[in-house]
Amino acid sequence: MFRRLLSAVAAGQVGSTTELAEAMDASPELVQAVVVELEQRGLLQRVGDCGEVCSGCPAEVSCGPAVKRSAWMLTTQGRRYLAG
Amino acid sequence: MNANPQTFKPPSVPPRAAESRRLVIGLAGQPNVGKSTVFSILTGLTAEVGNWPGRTVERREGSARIGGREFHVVDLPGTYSLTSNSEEERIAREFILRERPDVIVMLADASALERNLYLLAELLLLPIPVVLGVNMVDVALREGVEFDAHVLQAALGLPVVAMVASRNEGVAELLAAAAAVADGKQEYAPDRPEIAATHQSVYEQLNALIEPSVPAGVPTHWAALKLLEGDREVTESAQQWLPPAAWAQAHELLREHEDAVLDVAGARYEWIGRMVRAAVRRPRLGQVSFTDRFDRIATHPVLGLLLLLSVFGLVFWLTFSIAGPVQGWLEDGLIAASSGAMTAALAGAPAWLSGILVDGLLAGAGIVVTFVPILFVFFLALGLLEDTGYQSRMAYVMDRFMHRIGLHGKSFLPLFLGFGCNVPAVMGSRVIESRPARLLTIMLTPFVPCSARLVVLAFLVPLFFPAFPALVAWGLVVGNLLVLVLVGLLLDRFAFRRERLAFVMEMPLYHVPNPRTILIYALTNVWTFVKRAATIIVVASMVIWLLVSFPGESVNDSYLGMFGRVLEPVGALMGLDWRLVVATLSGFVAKENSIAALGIIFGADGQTLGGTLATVVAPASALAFLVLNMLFIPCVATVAAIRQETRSWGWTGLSAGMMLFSAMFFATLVYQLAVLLGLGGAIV
Repeated sequence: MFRRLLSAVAAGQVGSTTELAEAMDASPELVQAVVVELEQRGLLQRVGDCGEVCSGCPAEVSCGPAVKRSAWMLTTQGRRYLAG
Repeated sequence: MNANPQTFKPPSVPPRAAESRRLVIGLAGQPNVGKSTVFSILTGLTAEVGNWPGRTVERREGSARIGGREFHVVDLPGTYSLTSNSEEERIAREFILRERPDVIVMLADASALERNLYLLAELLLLPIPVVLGVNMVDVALREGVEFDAHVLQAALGLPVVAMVASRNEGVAELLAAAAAVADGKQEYAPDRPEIAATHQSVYEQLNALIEPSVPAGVPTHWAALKLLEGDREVTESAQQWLPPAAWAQAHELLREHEDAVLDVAGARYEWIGRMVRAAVRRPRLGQVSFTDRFDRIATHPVLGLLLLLSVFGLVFWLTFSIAGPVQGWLEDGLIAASSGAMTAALAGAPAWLSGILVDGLLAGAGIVVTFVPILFVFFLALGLLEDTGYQSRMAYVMDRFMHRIGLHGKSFLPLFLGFGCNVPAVMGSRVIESRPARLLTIMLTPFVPCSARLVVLAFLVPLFFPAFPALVAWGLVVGNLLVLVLVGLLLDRFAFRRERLAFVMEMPLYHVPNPRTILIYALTNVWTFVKRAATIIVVASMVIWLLVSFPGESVNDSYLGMFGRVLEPVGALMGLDWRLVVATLSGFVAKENSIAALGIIFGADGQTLGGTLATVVAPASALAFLVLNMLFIPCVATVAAIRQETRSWGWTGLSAGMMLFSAMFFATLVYQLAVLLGLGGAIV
């Protein structure tokens, strides 16, 4: 699950947890839980606040407070794990 | 992880005996899944609150009798996993491995199964059968989340019961399912998560390596997985029970595969995804639930803060406006009447006996009794906030501020209530799961000026500084709060920084609270205070009465007076003579005592206290006295509460020592600065 999610984020074509969930055939809630877990383990890093970009986004509802208005990138540790 | 589903073998107990024996149930689950509600429904007032042996985490257990069958229910600490990251997690797994309950009943939130089932993935590795209660299905349904218990049961291979614990729906069925599994009447063949293929062979090698040496009672596959996960406790103990050569091999294997932990955890999420896929149906995009709508306000950086302050204002007002009059009635009616009756009954007894019983014992018991209304209303309000799900939002909003001084978002709750009374504030710190954050909160709570200290301030400032009382009072309160922040920063930097855990906030859906749960929560907490703190308060009150009353008849000739004189050189640094030192010391029983002591000492010659103080105490000394009293060791009830909550005389002593040092340091600083500014010297 971790590798699949990191691969999807690394591919750079994902705009929201909902799209990520669709790409991984999982629920947005599961993706959200895994994103939080990967951030805690230092494999993903929150890189910024999308701010008003969230307004009107169809995925806004499915983003929980911990993930909402955030963009993510792989950390060095995340890239190393993915390459391993 | 075990690749093959295993059928659970019930303990080898003859069938009849098995059906009549008392079952021990461990109640597990993440925080905010309704565990307290289920526990209180099951155990009611049989619940006993203690501490886990050698720990500061609360242990709650009680009995339940359903359908003629007796159950002993142990409420395990709320945990997200069973890795040794926190004390709560270590307690939960030690209980399962060492005390071996008959069944684990795990509760999960129907609307957040994806996050809740991680704990189940870990529980299934332990040698005790698990029954899953999926709670708050009504709330989930209102949010558009549909859940099918039968599908989940078929997928998991263990009993799954849909519940609405707040309406007592499904609780009896949950217990019946637990009994059926324990008695071997229901099939138990759980589907357990498998480790990712990349590390399957490493896991098998490790398993084979440690199998001959694993201590009795610890499952080999569980120990192997924990080693792969880098679990600190299991790794340390493995060094003891593995022969050196085997440990060297295991260590090398683990070093080569440091990333195995990620495959273990990742596989658990894969498993969760598989389990919930068919059992849970979520709302279509675009549907906005009540929780989403309300959270737009409740978790908003500005609106959320305003809402939080309003809610707290209300809690603060309710606590003191409802409990205050009751407290007054208890003081004026019950305690005064009892005092009068006891004095009359002891009319013929020696003065010392009457004194120690009326002014020592009864006065101490009076302090305990008068705290009860405040604590009861406070815990009712706290229970309500927790049971509706709003408490998590408060912590979320406050977290960004509190983290700056190393505190948890939830620390705001007790610290804010400390303005009313430090005792419920210290006790309220138990809402914080992380022990370092809880300890830091407890250490900082006495720095919050409580209402008693504010009363002393409001009474004395106009007497000392009649020209500009508001400015002086405001300056003292602001200065007090700055000291709190400073101490918080120092403690965080030097004492707690390495221990603090990452902050992960669970946001449960809002739901209608259960009055019974809230009432039992309040009663249990108040009773715990009365049972544990009462003895300390009563004994301390009697000791202080003895110190004030002997050997002479007046305070001047008392041991406390003599002690004050001994401390006079220290007092001189702050411009205080022994009388002001004694007045400060007397505030240890209750802060208001400082005023009474000043009245006795300075008002003896017939003058009013204000008139005397204004003429004999110079402004610099008056300022130092006020600073000393604001920061001095808290009252005995707060000290007792700190001892009770930390379960440690060391932390209690550290708290008192910190307060004493801060009080003397800042009082001296203020006095010396005031003298430099020409505000006069010591007492005339």
